[in-house]
Formats: sequence, structure tokens, C-alpha cells
Amino acid sequence: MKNHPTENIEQLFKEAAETNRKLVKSMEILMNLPDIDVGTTPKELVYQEDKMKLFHYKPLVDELCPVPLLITYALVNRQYMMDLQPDRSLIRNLLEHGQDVYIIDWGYPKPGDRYLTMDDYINGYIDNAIDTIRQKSKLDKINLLGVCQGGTFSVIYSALHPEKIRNLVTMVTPIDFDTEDGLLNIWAKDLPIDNIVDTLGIVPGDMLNIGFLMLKPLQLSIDKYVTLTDAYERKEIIENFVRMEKWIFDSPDQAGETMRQFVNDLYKNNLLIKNKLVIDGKSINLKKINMPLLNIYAEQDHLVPPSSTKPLNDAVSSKDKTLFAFPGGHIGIYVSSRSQTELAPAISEWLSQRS
Amino acid sequence: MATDENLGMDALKAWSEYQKTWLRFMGTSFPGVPKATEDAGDKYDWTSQWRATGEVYDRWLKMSQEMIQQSWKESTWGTDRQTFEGMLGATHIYNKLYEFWTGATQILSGDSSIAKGIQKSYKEYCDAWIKNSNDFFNTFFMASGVEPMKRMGVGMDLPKMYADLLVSFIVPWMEATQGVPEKSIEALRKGPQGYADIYRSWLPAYEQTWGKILKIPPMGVKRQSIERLQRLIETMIEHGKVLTEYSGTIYRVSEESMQKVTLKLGEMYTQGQPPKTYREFYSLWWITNEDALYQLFKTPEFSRLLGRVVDVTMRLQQRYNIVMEEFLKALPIPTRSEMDDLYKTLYLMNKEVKNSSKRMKGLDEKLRTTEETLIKKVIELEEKLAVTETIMEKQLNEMKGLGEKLTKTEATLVTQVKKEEKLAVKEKTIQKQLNEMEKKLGAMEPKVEKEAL
Repeated sequence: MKNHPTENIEQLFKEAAETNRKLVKSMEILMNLPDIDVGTTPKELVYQEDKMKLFHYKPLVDELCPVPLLITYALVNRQYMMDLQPDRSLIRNLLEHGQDVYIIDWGYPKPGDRYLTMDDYINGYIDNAIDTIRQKSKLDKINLLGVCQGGTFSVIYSALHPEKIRNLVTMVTPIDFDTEDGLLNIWAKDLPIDNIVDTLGIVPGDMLNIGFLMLKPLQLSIDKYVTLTDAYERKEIIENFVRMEKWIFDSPDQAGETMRQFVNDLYKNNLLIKNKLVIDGKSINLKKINMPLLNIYAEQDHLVPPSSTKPLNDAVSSKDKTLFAFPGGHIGIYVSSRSQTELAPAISEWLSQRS
Repeated sequence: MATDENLGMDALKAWSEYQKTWLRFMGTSFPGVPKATEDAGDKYDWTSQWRATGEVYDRWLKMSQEMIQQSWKESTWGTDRQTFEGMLGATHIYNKLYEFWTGATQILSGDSSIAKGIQKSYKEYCDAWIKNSNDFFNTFFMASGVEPMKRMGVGMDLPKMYADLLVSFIVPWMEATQGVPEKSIEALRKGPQGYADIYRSWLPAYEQTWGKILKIPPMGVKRQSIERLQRLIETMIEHGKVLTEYSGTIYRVSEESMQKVTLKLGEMYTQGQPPKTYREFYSLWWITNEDALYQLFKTPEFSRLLGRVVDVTMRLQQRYNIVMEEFLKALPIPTRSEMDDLYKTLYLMNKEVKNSSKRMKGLDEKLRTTEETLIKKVIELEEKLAVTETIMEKQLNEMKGLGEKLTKTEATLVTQVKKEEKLAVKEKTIQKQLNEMEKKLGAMEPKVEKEAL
């Protein structure tokens, strides 16, 4: 049956009016949004070096795990993703399960930081943070949890200083970069990183963001906003969206020399898994990692594919090692409800049993 | 005092109010349009009405976007602004697609009164629409290509420089080249693909003519400066070439995807299973595009192309920096490369200070440990000494007793010695007496013998 012509005109108006009604309503909500807070779990500054800050979270329970846990996040994006909001906070969850949590905030590198190397981050900042915690807790060894690129740094650190690490946890951590499962791994092979660093010194965070958006251009640039206008009647959804949006585009610039080595030695030449990576004149041998290892990967990770993460367990000499598959993506692993109900308790239990 | 942010917020509120008015207007306007239930018959000019309302909608959308962009131009509004811009952009694309959907639905459902007003056939309609609807791909991907340039601070100046170059070098040449103006007209109809075609046909001609002129070795005092400018221009041309290849590649895929979508839509109608809602069609559209782009992105060819885009963009920035630094030399301000030298020195010094501090900390620690060990040892020694002292005192006391005994013994011995001396004297006396007696006896003996005889 043919439509009556006016039905189509009316339909056009209806659709247009509806879309714009949603838009106006969303706009009203956006204009009246309170300040969007992130990373609200109470913590105190215990150590600072250049732009790096080490925070200690205030315990939320009386009975604490005797060995403190240091979380090392990636240099790309900000660490508050792990404490995005009270009901979506991996950190709060770990605290509630009795972990004594510290976290490194890398800050925002400026042009003067262009010469910082991976050695500066690993043997400098991370080592000093770990020594601070060891001193405070009067322990020789502490627990270390590395996330994404921060996980790669943690693995390298543990291979260099196994005497300081009691248990190692890695989350969505790239180790074997020779995979074609992720677009970043494919594109990095042709990325003229030397040219970029020589030219820009500090690599702009926005440049990385464009790369991340290109991984799923329509979903991340159109569909997610279209979907958001559908939620115009639910203020909390818009608030959560804005919070996530804040995190996504809060991308610090990158210290050029560190990025140069990360792309050349890891993405292009895959030296870490071959035990050929050299930091401060010392070869990194993954077999020197002998402490218990919990390696967590996300099954639908489009940034760090499982094929890049999983090989770590075979590369270390630890006898006690666990591979944990999380059914979600690179972001869901921090903020999904499953992350809160399953992952955080699992990490905490694993650590407590070994601390 | 009104801040930029306040001004931005005020403008947003005004905008929001405007939207509300518009929505009210939508509810009451076009009174001449009969309701769907009424019999319109053939008296009403549906085509004109459809076009008119479409134009009103288009104008509104454009005006809204301009307004919001203007409002936010100087505002410091952060994440919420980004979110809203994202929403607005997405809504624009969503609505654009909706235009296609509405038209396609009219044709495919056989609503000829409107269909005739749009295009003669579905295919013709789709072709025309595809060629004129690349908002997203043009804005997103081209923006991605030049985004690093914006961050590098080239964004504001380069287009002007580029335009100046076009005026002084390229445009006159293009006009003199046969066929190019016609191609330009063609490009207006064909969109980005058409412009890419012009670029491709133009580039070899350029390289054979002006490109060669630019490569003529400069001479004289300003030789080096001219050379630098030449390198910059060459790299600009190369940048344009690579960027055209890049946008052409994306454009081809987006066009193919839209063709797939239109074919799929046609098939669905033929099979009597058209999308039930617009949202269903929209999902078909974006997922088809996303899949096609993913297939393109994962190819080594695209990876290499992307690498070339970044590489030439960086080289262009380097050339630009060199020329800019040349201009800035005369001014009393530090240049970027001078700052970089300074950063390096600072970094090395900072590292040295940190290493030294760490070493000193280590030495301090060792010193503290050594001091502690020494103190411990001293205490141990002191304790041992105290014990030894006690023993010695005891021994001394014991020796004291022995001394007394010794004195007594000595006295006894002296007495005894004296006694012995006395005895010896006596013995001597006795011996003397004995000797004398013997002597006397000896003297008496011959007398006795004589007497005896």
C-alpha cells in the first residue's frame, strides 16, 4: 500500500522535530550539569618528582593486605579512568577488598620533557616510587599492577628489579607487538616516529586521539552521539557520558624520546619478547621475572589485542602464573559492571593469597 | 564582569531558547498542509511543499551550527562543549542521512508524486545523493590529516601561505593549461574525487614546468634563504599530492559503501522486507561504512599511505620551522631550536643532579650503616674492656694479697737470711776457733809425740 504523501511530510517533520527536541533537552542537561568530578576516592600525595606524583589512597577497611600495591598507568590518557566515578571505580573496589593502594600520576609533559627516556620513567620515576613505598611500609618487596603501556613498563621493571616485587599483575598489557590483530600494530610499522619526534619533540595527545578515533571512525564519531541523544531523558547517562568523554580527550602530550623508543624498539622491532630490549645499557630478560604473575587481558580489546598480551606467561620463569580472560574491551575492563563485580574481587583475592 | 565563558553560556542559553521557539513554530506552521487523514487529491503541490519544508529545515540546521560555532569561538567551555559539538555534528550527519532515507523511501515505495519531484529513478537519485553527501568523510578524515598541522601552529598561517603560492605560481599556470578549467567545472559536480583527478593530472605537468624552475640552483647572497624557501614549496606540493591520494582513497571507500547501502536497500524493498524504522536503516549505513573502512585500514597499502601522510606533514613542518626561524633571527626572541638546545642541557643537568643525588643518597646510606657498625663495635669493645677491667681489678686485688704475702715471706726470708748470716758468722767463728784449735793441736802434736816417745 502506498503511503499518503502527507504522511511522509509529517513523518519528516516528526523525525526532525524529535531529533531536535532530544538535542534541546540534551543541551539543557549539559548546560545545567554540575562540575563533572573524576577520581574522587580520597588519597594523599606522598612523593613528587618533576611532574610525576605518587598518591596513597586512604584505606576503606580496617583489615589491610600487608603488602601495599602500586598501580602504574599508561603515559597515554590519565590514570583516573580506574576511579572514574564512585560506582565505576576499580580502585575503590580494590580498597573495599582490603588492598593498600598507591598510584602514579604521570602529569602532563611539556616541551622541556621531550628528552625523557624509557629509562627515566622505569629506572627513575617508577623505581623511586617503589623505594618510597618500600621505605614507608618497611618491606623489601611490594605488589605491582601495570596497566596497558604502564604494564609494559612494569614488566620491564620487574625484570630489572625482581628483588623489589612480590607479585606482578598486568592488565591489557602489550608484550608481543608482532601481531596484525590490531590496527595500531599494523599502522605503527609504517609510522615515521623518528621524523615525528625530531620535528615535534613532544608528541601531541590530540594526534594520538585522532589515531584512536580512526580505529572505529563511525562508531566513535557519530553513532555514540546519536545514541546519546536517545538518552536525553536520563540525566545520569549524559553525566556518565560526559565523564567518559572528558577522559577520552584528556590526553597528555608524550615525551618524544620515550615514544621514539616505544615505537621503534617495541612496535616495530618487537625487542621485548625477544629478550633483546636494552634499557640503560642493560638487557631485559623476561626470564628474570620469577615472582607470581597475574596477566589479565580483554577478549574484545581493539587497542591491545589478546595476541599481544597472552605471550607474557610463556616468557617469564615464574612458577605461579595465571592468565585471566576478561569478556569485554579495553575500556570496559575498568568501568563495566562486570569489572566491578568480577575483576576487582579476583585481583584482590589473588594478591591477598600471595601477600 | 562578563567573562568569555559567561558570554559563551549566555549565547548557548539564547540558542536553546531559540530552539524551543523553533519547535513551537514547527507545531503550528504550514497550516496549508492537510493532515494525513484528509483527502489532498491532486490540488496540492506536494513537490513544492516538500522542497520548501526541506529548505526550511536545511536553513535551520546550517544557522544552528553557525550560531553555535560563533558562540563557542572564544569560549573556554571544556568537555561539555566537545560533547555537544560531537552531538551536533552527529545529528547533522544523522539528519543528512535521513534526507536520503526519506527520498529513497518515497521512490522505492512508488510514491510517484514526490518521487518525480526528486529524481527520475532510484539509481539516479542515489548517484546524485552519494556524490553530494560526503560531509562526514570530508570533514573527519581531512581534519585528521591536517590535525597535527593545527597543533603545530601551522594551521593559521599555512593556508594563507599556500593560497598566496597558488595565486603567484600555480593558478596562472593552471589557467594557461588546456583542459584544467573544464575539469574544475567537472569537479564541482563530482566532488572530492573530481578535485583529486585535477590534482593528479596537474601534478606531472607542474613537475615538468614550474617544479623544474623551482629546482634551479639559486645564486648570490640570499642563496641559502632562497633554497630553504624552495624546499618548503616543494614539500608543500608533495604534501598536497599525498593528502589528495589519502582523501581519494577514503572517498572511494565511502562511495562504494554508500552504493552497497543503496543496493541493499533496493534489495530489501524488492524482497518486501524494507527496514521497519529509520534507525534500522541508519544502523545498516554506519555498520556498512565502518566495515568497509576497517577492511581498508588493515591493508598494508593504507598503512603505508598513512605513514606517508604523517611523514610529509612532518617534513613540511620542519621546512616551515627552518624558514620561520630564519625570519625570526632578527628579533630578540629565542627560537624553537634554541629552546630545544636549552631543554637538552637542562635535561642532562637534571639527570646528572638526580644521578648524583641518588649516588649521594647511597653513600649517605653506606655512611650511616658504617657509622652504625662502628658504634656497635665501639660499644662491644667498651663492654669487653669493662669486663677486662673487672677481671684485671680482681687480679690486681689478688696480686695485692700476694704482695702482702710476698712481703711477709720476704721478711721471713730476710730474717732467715739474717739468721743464716748469723749462723754463717757463727760458723765462721767456730771454724776459726776450730782452725785455731787445730793449729794449737798441730803445735802440740810434736810435743805430745816427743813426750810419748
